[in-house]
Amino acid sequence: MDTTATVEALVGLGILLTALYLQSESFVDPLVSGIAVQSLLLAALLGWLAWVYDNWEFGAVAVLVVGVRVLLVPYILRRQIRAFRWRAREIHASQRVTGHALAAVALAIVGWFVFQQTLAPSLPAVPGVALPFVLLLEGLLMLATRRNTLVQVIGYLEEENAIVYAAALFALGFPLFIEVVVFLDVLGVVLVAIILSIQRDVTGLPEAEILEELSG
Amino acid sequence: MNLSDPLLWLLIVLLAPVTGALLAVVAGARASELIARITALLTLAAAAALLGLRAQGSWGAYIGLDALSDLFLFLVAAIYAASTWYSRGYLRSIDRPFLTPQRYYALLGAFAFAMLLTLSVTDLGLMWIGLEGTTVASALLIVLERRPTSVEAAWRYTLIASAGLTIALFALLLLYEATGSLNGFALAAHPMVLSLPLAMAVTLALVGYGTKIGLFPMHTWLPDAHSEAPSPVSAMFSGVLLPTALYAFLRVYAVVASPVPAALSDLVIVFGVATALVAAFLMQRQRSYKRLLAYSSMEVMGLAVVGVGLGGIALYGALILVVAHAFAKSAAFYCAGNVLRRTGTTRIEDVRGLRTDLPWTGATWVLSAIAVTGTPPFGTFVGELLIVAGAIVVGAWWVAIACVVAILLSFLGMNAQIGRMVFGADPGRGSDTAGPPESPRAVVIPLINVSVALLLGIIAIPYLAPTIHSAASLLGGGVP
Amino acid sequence: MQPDWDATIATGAQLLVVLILSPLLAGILARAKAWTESRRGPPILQPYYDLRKLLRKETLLPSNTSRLFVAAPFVGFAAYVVIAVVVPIITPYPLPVAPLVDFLGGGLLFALAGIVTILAALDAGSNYTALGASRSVSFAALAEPTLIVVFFAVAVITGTNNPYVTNNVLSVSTSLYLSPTHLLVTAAFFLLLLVETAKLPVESSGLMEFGMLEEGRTYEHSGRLLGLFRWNSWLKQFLLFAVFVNVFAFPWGMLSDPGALATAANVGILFAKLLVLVGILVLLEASLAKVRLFKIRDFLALSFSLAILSFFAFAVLGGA
Repeated sequence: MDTTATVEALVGLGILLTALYLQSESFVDPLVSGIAVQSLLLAALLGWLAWVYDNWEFGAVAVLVVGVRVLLVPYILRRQIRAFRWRAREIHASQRVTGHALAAVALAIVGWFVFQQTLAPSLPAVPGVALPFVLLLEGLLMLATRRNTLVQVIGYLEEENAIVYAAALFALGFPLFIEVVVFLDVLGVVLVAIILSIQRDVTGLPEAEILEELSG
Repeated sequence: MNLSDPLLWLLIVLLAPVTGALLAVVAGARASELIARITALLTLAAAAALLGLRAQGSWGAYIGLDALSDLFLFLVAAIYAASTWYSRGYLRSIDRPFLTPQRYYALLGAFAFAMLLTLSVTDLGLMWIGLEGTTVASALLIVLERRPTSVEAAWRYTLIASAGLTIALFALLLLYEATGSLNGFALAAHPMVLSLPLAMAVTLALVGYGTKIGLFPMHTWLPDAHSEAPSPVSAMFSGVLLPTALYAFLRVYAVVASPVPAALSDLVIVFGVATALVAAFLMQRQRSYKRLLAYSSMEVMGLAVVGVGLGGIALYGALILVVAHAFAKSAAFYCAGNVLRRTGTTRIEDVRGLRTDLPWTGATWVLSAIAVTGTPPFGTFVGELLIVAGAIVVGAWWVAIACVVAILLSFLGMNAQIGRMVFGADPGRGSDTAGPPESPRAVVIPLINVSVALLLGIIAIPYLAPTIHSAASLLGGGVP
Repeated sequence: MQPDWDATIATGAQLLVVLILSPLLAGILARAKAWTESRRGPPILQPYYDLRKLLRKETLLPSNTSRLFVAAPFVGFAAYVVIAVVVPIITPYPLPVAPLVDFLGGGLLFALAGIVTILAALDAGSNYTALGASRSVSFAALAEPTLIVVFFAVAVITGTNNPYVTNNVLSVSTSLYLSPTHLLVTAAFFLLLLVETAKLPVESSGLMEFGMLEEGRTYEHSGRLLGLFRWNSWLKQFLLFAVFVNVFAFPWGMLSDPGALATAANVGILFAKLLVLVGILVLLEASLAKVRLFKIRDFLALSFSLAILSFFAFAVLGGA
């Protein structure tokens, strides 16, 4: 087994574990660390590939991933947590950890099965080639099951990671790769900016009333 | 300077809103409005020129036009101009807006530019970037009126739409892996036989772009964003943002060689039918008139997607439907804005007696409501008829029946509620809640738009029978 | 057929080692834990004194109990004795009786010992034992599948369901040892170990509190029966530890010569490995707080997820 495959396998293991961790953790602060670790792993893979294939685009994306998803967004989120203690935790999540962890595993298996049935034959057989698809599903699951806005941002970041991971593993030479990643990150920052500027600005209706108003 | 050079007009279409947006940021409040109005008209004129020239071809690696993009460009430019011109009175009625007029017009211009960019590129990745840009530009517009509900709506919109677009981007990665190119025009010129990875890519694109089109069950952001955004922005969402997303999906769908295998086209049809039916049923129990209009848009987009899935004359019908709907629905949203300004509420049960209170708005609203629900002789009727006819021609009876059910339900739900608000007896509302009295100027823009929808129908109807006839005979079906 | 004396001696030695050293392991663990808490703690041999005391005491049976109540500790003891001679503890080569039971069978025997204890607890008819029984069953619902998945995952990577072969394969192949699958399985088994042997953060043993699981089931047993139950739990701990160190965590180091001398040396090697594990556990116990009872389920879910993921990693990332 050559070194690149080993790196890919190790990064895949790390990403798999962080994905499970992100699903089963209910406090925001460790979740922020979790997504930062996941992004760092991804950046390490990109850096390695940039070096091996002498591909400056990967290097640039690695720098971008470290800058935005490891440093900037976690920094802003952490400041948010300090500013609003009540947002640091999901309400009632403690009872659901078992369910979340098992749902994450079940989704991973279903996703892998779908991937094997449809895409696997046409894609290169690198270690972890099914993981970007699985990671995409995990990010969606997180967006769908969590109510906390900060945690939803983390779910979105996980989806972004899935895209970059996919591009690193099988869509080599994807045109406009950097531009697309930049746009994803811009949107991530916009998401955070919405929380930052607006939720502080608008106070008033409790959540239940908002949901009542926006139902149907 | 050669006035018949499409590139010149295309550059105006793309650069005018950007210039307007940049100038609006640095200008004063009144000046920014004027700049926005002029640049929007300029965009519209240039887009009309492109449509008139039947511009097609590609310039460089990324920019290109064909008949479809000409049509959509014109549509976006028209609704953008209408919304810009409508905005003045509406902005004045908001007492503590989240954005200054300068920023409002700048974001409106950026929003329009993102859509126009989506429609004028050949590269699917760039198209995706344009669509993602619409989310970035429009998210803050939803919060204009500073209600907690609008913050929540903006949040849901941004999050769900961007999650959907991430799926679409994954689809593009797979598409690139399967085809080796992302040039939508080149791929459509040499369409590929459906392979498993390609099918997966198209399915994921349907789910991803479908989120932005408002397909069930990814539609959950749509009613919130439409009902919480200020009316001129709602009109752009409903009239042109959803069709722009549909356009992006069409470009991916065109990569598959026709005839599209039944499994894939059936999937598209099922999504469309489910969306139309769900929206039509949900319209029956809405308590807010802006949500009612939002669900009606969803129903229309569902029908349009059915048309895309059926192909042939149904696709033709879907395009007519989308164009006519954009004009009619934007008129309906402008009227809803007038009503909101006057009454200060979006609840249907609190609004009565518009016939005497806001006679011009009330009349236009009724007109636009029957226009969006596909009443003859409006253009929407032609579109819906062609879709149903297309379903019958290919023998998809259940699709035809489901579409008719959805059309009838939405007709009932929409017109019963709007009729009650306009013609219902005024319960004697206190004058303290009432906004400024009606100014006839606020009705000009919706009247123009609804007239365009009417005009489209009147132009199209004489061509209708021969088209259906020839299509049906082409497919070997008997015409009674 | 000529009896293989070396193997017979090794079998007997292994059985004796398990039976005799298991209370010692518990004593060392208790003493080391006390040491981290700045207490002197009980003597290392305290479990032997307890055992002697309990075996001498009078056995009282609650009225209305059936024979199951009396039979349960013996059935459990028998199950552990069988396990004791079929897993690699002091020999890297299979003992003559090893073909009796493979990994899955071992898991089933553990489950058998557990279920008879629970049945006996229910049989006693006391509220407290019923509570202990229901708790342990609700957690076993997640712990048992984990155990089975762990064994299957090992079977998948090493191509065998035999603990001896697994031990051999892992000790020879470094890449297999370092494969994601094996690391995940080891982690999952370690978490399971904490649950099964009543260690923090799942259970703070010995304090007789209401959160306890292991001891909650044996309230109504006394005298000899209670003594046997205690011994059973020490045996279980010893066997699980031995399997963990020999098969999963440190598969190296055992001498494969069949002679008595090598066997004796292997006992020492095993004990050295166990002491390392005890050190790790004491460190954990000193640094972790007990989780709430309802969180134990989450803890087990995590262990189960890791076990499943080990399969997943095998499929997605490749076996080695």
